[in-house]
Amino acid sequence: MFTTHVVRQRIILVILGLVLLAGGGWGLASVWWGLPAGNDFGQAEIGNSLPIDQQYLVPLGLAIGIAGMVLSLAVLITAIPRRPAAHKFRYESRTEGVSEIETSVIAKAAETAAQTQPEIVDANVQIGGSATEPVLYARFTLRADAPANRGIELVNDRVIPDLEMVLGAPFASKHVSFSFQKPEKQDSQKAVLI
Amino acid sequence: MNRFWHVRSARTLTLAISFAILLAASMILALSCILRLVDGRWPGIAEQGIDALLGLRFNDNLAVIAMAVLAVLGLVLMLSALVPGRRQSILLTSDEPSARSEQAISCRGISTLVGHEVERTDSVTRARVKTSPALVHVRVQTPAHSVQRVQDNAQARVQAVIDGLPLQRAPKVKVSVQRRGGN
Repeated sequence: MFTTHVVRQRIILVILGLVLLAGGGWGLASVWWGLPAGNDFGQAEIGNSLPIDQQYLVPLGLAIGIAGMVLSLAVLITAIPRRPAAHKFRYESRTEGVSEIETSVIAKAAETAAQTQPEIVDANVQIGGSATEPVLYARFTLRADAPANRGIELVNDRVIPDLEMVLGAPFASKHVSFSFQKPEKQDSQKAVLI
Repeated sequence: MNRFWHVRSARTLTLAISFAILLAASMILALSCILRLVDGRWPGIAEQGIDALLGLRFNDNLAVIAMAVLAVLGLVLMLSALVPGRRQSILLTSDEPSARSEQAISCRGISTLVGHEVERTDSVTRARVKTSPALVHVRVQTPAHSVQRVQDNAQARVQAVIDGLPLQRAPKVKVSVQRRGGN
């Protein structure tokens, strides 16, 4: 159950693509069509337009290198797919004082409870958000040889309401995905007619 | 509501490769500058690169090829970012964005379900299923001579499975049968 920031990834790629396209395109346009007008750009030596002999070349190169490293590392780290983080929910009661619950413990209990149902083969549950506005991320794998509707109804009518009851608050948002798994043994009663 | 499951494919691999190359280039540049500061001269590879650049004109073949490669690379990156990826799930009827409830079924899960059902059909020895939000394509292998009958049976079964799922938009079903084995 991993997620990445799709929009951010695409925006970064667009910016990088635009920079490369603009650089390469401008260079080609300058060589082939003499842009900007009046400059004989094509005949110019590349070395003349670079600050090769300038004193600031090394500090500038070092700064660009370090900035490039920091930027690249930042982008690579943020691109790593992540699981929604588990939280510690804090409850305050006049009679029972303050109590804390790890959402990962509730999620694990919900997974175990769901897997005891014959329709559900596997469950992967994560609870985020806050104690008053919990958020559910869950993937349930249902048996392919059981009616699909029954498994989906079971999750929606039993598993999720039970979780909300344990948390003491309805989920502010729910993100549920279903999948299926084949039974280990196939039906041996079918006929192969040639 | 921000969706978690029903999202278009990310561009993690393209981004990772691009920025790994940028990281390597930045490290080489920074290292070369540090060595220049320490030793007072450029390291061998950097010196060769600077010498090559000094003698190069903008309309030399090497420079033109490098600029063309840059432009093409930029275009490829932009296209990969702008072309929308395919979603790998189908929304269920119980999905309600207004109630902040996202419910989806994975295309891989539908393939498993359909494959299991088709392989239970008489005379079917093997079924391979590929599912997208628009199409469920089933390739069936059978030793039977009456290919049309197997195709009709498989088509009916797959359609029944898809109709039985509470999908917001059911994909079309396409069954192709290949005769293999038998006499």
